[in-house]
Amino acid sequence: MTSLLYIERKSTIHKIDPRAKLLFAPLFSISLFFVDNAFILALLFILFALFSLDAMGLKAFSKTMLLIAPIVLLLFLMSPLEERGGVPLLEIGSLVILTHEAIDKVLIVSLRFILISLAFAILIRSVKERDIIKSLRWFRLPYSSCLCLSLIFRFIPYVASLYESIRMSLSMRLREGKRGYKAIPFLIALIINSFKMVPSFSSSLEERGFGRNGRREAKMGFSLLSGVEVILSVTIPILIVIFL
Amino acid sequence: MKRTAFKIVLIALSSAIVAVFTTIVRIPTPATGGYISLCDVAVSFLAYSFGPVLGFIAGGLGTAFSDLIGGYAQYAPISFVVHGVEGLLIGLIVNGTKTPIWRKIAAGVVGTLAVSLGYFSLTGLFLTTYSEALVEVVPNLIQGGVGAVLGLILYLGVSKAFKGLDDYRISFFHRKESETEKT
Amino acid sequence: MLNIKGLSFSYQDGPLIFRNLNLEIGENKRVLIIAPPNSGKTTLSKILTGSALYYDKGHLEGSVEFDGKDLNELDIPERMGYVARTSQNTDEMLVFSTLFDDLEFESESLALDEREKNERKARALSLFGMEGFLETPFSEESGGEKKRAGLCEIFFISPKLYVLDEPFDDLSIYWRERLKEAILNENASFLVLGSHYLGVYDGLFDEIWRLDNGELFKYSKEPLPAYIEDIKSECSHTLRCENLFLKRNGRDGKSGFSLDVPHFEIKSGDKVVLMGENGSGKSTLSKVICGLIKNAKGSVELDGVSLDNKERRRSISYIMQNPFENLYMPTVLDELKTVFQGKIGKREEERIESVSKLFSLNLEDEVYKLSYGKAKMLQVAIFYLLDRDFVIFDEIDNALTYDESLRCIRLFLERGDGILVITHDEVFSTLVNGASLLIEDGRLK
Repeated sequence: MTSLLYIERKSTIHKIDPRAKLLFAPLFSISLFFVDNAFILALLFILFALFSLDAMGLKAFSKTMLLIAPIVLLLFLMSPLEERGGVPLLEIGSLVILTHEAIDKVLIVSLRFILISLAFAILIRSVKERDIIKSLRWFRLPYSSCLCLSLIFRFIPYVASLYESIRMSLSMRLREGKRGYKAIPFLIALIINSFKMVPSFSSSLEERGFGRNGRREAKMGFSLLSGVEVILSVTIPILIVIFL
Repeated sequence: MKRTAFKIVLIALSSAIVAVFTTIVRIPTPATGGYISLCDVAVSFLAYSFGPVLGFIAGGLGTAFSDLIGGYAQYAPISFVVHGVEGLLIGLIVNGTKTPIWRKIAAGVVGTLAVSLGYFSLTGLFLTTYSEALVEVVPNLIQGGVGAVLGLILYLGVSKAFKGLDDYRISFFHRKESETEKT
Repeated sequence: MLNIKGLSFSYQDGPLIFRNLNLEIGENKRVLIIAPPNSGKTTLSKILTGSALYYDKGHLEGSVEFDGKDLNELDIPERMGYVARTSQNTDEMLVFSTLFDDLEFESESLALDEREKNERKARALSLFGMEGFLETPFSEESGGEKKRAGLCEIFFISPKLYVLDEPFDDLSIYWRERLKEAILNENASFLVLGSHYLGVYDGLFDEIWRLDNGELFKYSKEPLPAYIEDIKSECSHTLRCENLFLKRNGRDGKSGFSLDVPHFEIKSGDKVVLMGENGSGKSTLSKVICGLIKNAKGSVELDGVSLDNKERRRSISYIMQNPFENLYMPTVLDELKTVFQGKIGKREEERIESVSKLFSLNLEDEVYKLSYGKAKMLQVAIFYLLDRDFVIFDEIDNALTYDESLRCIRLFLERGDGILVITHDEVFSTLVNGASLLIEDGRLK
């Protein structure tokens, strides 16, 4: 299930330092709000579509686009109604339905949304989870929080597999109702079986050395750039975008 | 010995439970023929059982992770805030286990409203537009309401079936290690 | 090196698990302890690593010394270089998402430099053939692969004393031999815990003990219980399976799996034993017969009537390996009540009462507190009450002693049910005394 995330690929995007990508996605998203020109956004869209194709391939790219398609569609349907003042494009009687500004606004908002989605998608698909967490550590996130995040990656498939086995075993015992098995006992069993593992996992963590004296300064293994270069390489494009 | 490992694992596992409840567990709805997501069930359950801090962290991280995995990474920061606050509010209002039922229900109501309001305002502000976000308000309310109720039922059921829940709560909050006997 | 004197231990409000246990393990020695399920094997391994004291809150008396020093003065993470264990439940021991991450973590714990880390890594991986599995998420690995991953992790740590809880379980014959080699060649001491004597143990150990009632005794082969005689059944139902076929695609370039069983039949009163290596398809075949797998092809007929998946689930009992995944109510009584789905009259109460006596269950016990063996008995009791004509036991000898397992099987046979027993223990299969089937690569031989 979590293997939906990282895609192994030899792309230029993959080669970029993970810290840069991690920093880029949110900052870029914010910088987009400074851009008020639909044309520029469209150009950026083309640029990022190319980046995405490079980073994740056609299949994943179309999947990503398909996921956000309904939302974009809704945007097109609902939002024009907000912007009524201005040059009318479509009228029914005396009721203004569509204006020039409305189309403009819809395009801007949709493109922004798509760009934000692509930026994050590129981040997720081209950075291994392990590197995301290392980057967060480099950005000074405390060790226990990083540990917690790594553990979540481990536990999600585990709880998911518990869900499957419980569902299977319940199907052996109970008669299936019209709408599936009784939710409550099912969920109770899932929760209890998950929580029962907490002491075991914690003691294993300690048995594998968590809490040992003189612990943990994980080697970063970020070869190429030093931190300053990373930050610069991100902020400069951002500033460019802002001043567009 | 500090029980740091225990706390970290408990938080991580709770977040995983939220994530799985959001994406994988499917309960068909009679009305629309679709499925409701059970994330609010999990968040409210955790808030009832463990209070505001765990409710905030697990609620936020769990839903953020499920957004990341599901392909909606752009929603992850928003989900983190919205469901984190949901867990936080429910936990704060309930404030311990010996509160009367009406207070727990009130907490659920507040949580549900917070979710709807949160998603509406944040999505409208940052991602799309208010009118698009409006579409999700009613479904969120329904899901949140059902979620809080189910979460409460789950909490009652699990506490009855699993006395260990109390132990975990105590272990989670106590700073000092409870004594172990040795000769 | 390891010196346990007068150890007695009990969990918080529980009974005494060990009473006056004495054990000495010298340097470079290999010791085997044979103990039936639930006798405290896991507790012993946890006492040595410290988890039993600090996590499960136990009461310990006596001394546990390592090289003359009191082991209990050391906290769990500090014992890492001295004692490390693998658990019977492999999932517990695998902390992160992949073997790579776990080994990195261990390397940091041990403060190894880059060269040392890579050396140990290469060695551990080659011992168990896990070089290609470094980046495979554990959730995608089979039981045997996870077991080998756990072994890699402990051999990476290279403690002075290895405590291995049922390490040979779940491994194919090939890997059992590799593990035996690894144990013999390693310059360390080993304590292996097992519930039955396995052939691979020959020539491996310096000392063999038996754990009985909390104390250690010198091991001697105990007499086996009587095998199950053929019992004639008054019922005459037939379960016939034809052309069962299922194909699973491989992942990451590893070949897929296909189940191909042209014909399988079992009648009331029959005993069939199904054996096979891990991954050979034993569980898959059973799950297909019981209706638990969606896309399987082929037909399953009961007395000539074809059953779809839903009907199969209601006509055949599948007693799966882990009882806890099958239990969800607060108390034993609640669980047994669910069989009747709401209608509890005098007659149902009597049946519950008699079943609880039959399986030595206490109706007020809380389910989540039950030991693994007791939970297994409860699970079996539930299916006994469900009273279906055909029953599949999946590795029941993992949770119960030979005696208890045979007793359970007999109870079902005496009622006239047809039984399929899945096991990988040859001794147990001869005791069941049924028609023997071997499954390999999805095909019956």
